[in-house]
Amino acid sequence: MNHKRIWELMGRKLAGEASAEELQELGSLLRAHPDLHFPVEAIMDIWKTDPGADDQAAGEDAHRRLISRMQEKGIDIGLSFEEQQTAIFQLEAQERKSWWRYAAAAVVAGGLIAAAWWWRPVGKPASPLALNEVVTKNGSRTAVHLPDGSQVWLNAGSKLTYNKDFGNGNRDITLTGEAFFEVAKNAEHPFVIHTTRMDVKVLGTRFNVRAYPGEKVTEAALIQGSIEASLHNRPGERIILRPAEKIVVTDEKIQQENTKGNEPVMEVRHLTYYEENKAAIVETSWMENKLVFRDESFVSLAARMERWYGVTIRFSDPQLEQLRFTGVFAQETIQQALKALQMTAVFNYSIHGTDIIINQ
Amino acid sequence: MAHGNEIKEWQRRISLYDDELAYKELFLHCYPPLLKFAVSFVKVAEVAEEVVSDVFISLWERRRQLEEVNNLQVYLYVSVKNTALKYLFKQKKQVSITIDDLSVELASPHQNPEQQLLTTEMMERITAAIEGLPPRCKVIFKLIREDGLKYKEIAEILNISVKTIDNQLAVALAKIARALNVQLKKPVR
Repeated sequence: MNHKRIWELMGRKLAGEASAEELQELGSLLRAHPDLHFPVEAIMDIWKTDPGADDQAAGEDAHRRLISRMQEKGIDIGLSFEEQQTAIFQLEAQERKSWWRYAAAAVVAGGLIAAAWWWRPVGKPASPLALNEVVTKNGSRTAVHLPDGSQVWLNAGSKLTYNKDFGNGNRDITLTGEAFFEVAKNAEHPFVIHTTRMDVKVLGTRFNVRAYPGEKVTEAALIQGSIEASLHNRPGERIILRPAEKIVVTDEKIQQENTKGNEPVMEVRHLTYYEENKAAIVETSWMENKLVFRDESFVSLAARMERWYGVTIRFSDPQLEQLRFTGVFAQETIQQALKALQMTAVFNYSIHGTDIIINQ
Repeated sequence: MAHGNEIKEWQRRISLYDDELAYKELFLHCYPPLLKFAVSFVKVAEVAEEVVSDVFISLWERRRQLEEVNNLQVYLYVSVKNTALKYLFKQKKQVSITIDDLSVELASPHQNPEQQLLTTEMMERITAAIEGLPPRCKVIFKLIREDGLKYKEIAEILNISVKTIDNQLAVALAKIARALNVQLKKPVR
């Protein structure tokens, strides 16, 4: 009786470990042992496990607990924009509560402390060094909740700077890169965004500002409400935008280098949509985790892909920079994205860590 | 759990792009088997979850080096094992633990509904036979059948030889066959 060898080979077969020779050996052994046909068949039948056994919801719950444990440890992870918003609101609500408790205690204590607090000179300039700075690396984004109740979503490779006393009489903020703003209404204190080429003044609204250094254009796209833009090189002019409009400012220096030279310095355009649906707005698509591009040159798309994926992209041949693409990336990895681009244009690429070279 | 390519892709995305979505997918994919594996050491579900969660936290914190990991699945199992052992050591419940101390819960066998080869009574016999396997045999049986791991991977995870795996699985199958053979003496259908 060589049953032990049979079960060993059966095990290998079931585990997908058996070689062709071993399968042959098992076959001939089984032919010599017809008494084992039934148990062998039965074991093969019950070997497969029930696929419905795993509880998907339990995994989701465990993942949620994992992320909150990580956040408690101070690890920067796990805040989708929506979740982060609620998380910040909760934090804010708690802070406010404790502030009220403090104020109430002060009043009870004789009103002196509270009075001192209220009588603090208004509009006293904060120390010039007292700046808050929020920076996002390439490949990552964040949401910022400002003291005045406004909300800012900062896209990759961007920086937001504001005074420590922001919201206390002034609402001035400086942006390099791209951000979406949801500005809290406050008619007395306009919210002003400063960029290298243009300032945007608002009273309360939702809009997107894009001002990446090295990019030819600076733009502000309005979703709701109204905003007022002024260009640094035309201080007297005020451009008022209506919803679904955007202002596009072209850098003059870069423009002069451009042989065409007939692009306007500033123009107001309508927002573009990447689907029939008017909710699918190209200018704010990054908020939905989408990288949308329409008839965009490879060199400019590559700059956005660098920020999106946190990679560097170089062209070995300047001709390739002029290829044009239209499309949307959502869940794609950088490799899948490049492969998709290869379907419409002829180029090759090589990846070394986070360095990508595009060549013929 | 044998989706090698998918796991490789998640691993790459986590390591290179801090991709939280890939991290989540990897977690959801690996959590059920790793949790059961952890339970076989620490016995308590809540503790087991903490063990798996610790492993995933350190994975995220060391994500830059993650590309160097050859087989992420094996890495995760080994990390769960080590973290569970560390926990047991700290609790001083057990100073040393071998695979023979593991308590393994197996998914109950279920047969292809179209074939209905086996009677309810036979299924019960098989279940009893599997339940009666020694722990070492059970854990190997489980890692192969339920988790879809390769012999070499299991050898690395449990620190045993491939030959042991061959033997243990053969023992398990022989036992199941014996449970069935008792029935064979009567007409089956």
